Amino acid sequence: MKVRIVVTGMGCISASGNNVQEFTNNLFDKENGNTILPISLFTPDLHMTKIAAEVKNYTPESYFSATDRKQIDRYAQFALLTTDEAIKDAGIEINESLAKRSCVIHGTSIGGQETIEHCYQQLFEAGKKRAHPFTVPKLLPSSAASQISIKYGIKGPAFSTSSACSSSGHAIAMATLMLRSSLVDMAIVGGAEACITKGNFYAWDGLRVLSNDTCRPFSANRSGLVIGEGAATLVLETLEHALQRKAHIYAEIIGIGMSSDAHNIVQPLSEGAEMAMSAALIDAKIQPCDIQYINAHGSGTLQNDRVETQALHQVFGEHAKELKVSSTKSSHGHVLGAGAAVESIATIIAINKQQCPPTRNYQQADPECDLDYVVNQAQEAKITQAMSNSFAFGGLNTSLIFKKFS
Amino acid sequence: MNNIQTRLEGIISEYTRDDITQLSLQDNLADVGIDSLGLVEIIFDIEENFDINIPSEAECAERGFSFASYEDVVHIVTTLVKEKEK
Repeated sequence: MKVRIVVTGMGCISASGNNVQEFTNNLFDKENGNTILPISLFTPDLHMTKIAAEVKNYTPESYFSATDRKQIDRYAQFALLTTDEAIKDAGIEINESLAKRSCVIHGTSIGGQETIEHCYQQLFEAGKKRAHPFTVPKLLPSSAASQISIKYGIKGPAFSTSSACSSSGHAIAMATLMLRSSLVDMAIVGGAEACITKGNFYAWDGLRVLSNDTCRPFSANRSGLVIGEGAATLVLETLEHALQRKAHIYAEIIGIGMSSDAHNIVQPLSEGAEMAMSAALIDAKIQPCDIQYINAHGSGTLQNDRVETQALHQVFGEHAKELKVSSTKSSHGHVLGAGAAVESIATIIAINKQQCPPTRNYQQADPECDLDYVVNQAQEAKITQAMSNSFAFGGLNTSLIFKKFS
Repeated sequence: MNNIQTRLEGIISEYTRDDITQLSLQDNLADVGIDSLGLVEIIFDIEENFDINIPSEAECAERGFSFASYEDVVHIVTTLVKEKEK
């Protein structure tokens, strides 16, 4: 009999708001302030992409002391803040014995990018003889996991997962498996990314997948993805553990699916996405027709949205046209390593509100993207089971299924 | 106090415990709140400020350099600055 896993706390920071309440308002309300704006974190060169989905109104000094800021990169700051929110939300007290029976798995695609660039600037431009002593601990992609473990005294497994845009999807999947195997009773899981920097955008521009317009998933005139920054953390527990302490339960994780395209470093493959989704359905022991809402990967690139639609048709067959599918990347941008976690929270909120968040900025129908994408406005829907998908560069895929808890 | 000491006190006092208002030459760094992480940062700041290179732990041991007391640090910096000026 499979151990049931539930979500009891959530924390989120992104272009769509600095906590879960702001995130909810921004995602669902009709009058939504535009979250995809000209870049302010650095000055792009004339030929570079000029827009991004930055976190707004964030002053690190308000949350972290000077000493902390020397040790904690922006990406790990986001990870810590969302963990603070999630743990407070869960109302959980991490005593000595729970600390040993808990894990921290926090994904990222690149880790401390700001620190990496600053370090190289000091070396190559300023000709400084030595880097600051904490440069390495600060830039490591595992630093968020370390900082969370240190702050909350968590002594079970703690590490980072990295699979580009699926990093936090794999984090959630791994945590679910650990909880199911009774290795741990609680997991602090999620992802963080803060790579809106000149060097990183220089690299991304080379790939020619960034939009200079906005993020328009599934729209015929879509022109690429918009990089976002932020983090999301979820507190997961075994149902038994949650019930014992009378925790508030947001949703149950009933299925996880992982797969690899084994195909190409950037081009997606329908079969890979299909395999991840099918694996999640089998793991959840439900049929395709049991899903009502899908939070798509929906990055807004010509390729992804077309291939993803194809994969949805293959997996869901006749039921595909009954599905509500939306990409919330149109609101919060593509948060890369944090994407799956941010979007899982969007999916869980959708289940709790019984509303599908919209795919914003949709303008033109594309015959190759022919599903119901909940365009431009949130819609009420009876959602019992919802799926959140992430299909990353390099063909690394995760599919997570959440169920309304009763 | 000479110039080196003034500058050094400025650097080290950034890392001492809040209740420490003044440093005296005999003060043991550990006693005034400087742990190993603090020491690593002090060394970095010293190198930046004086444009000198603090040798590795092994070489420091060979040369009889210690970071135990404030006086020890003054000695190291004074020696290395003099060597640099030669």
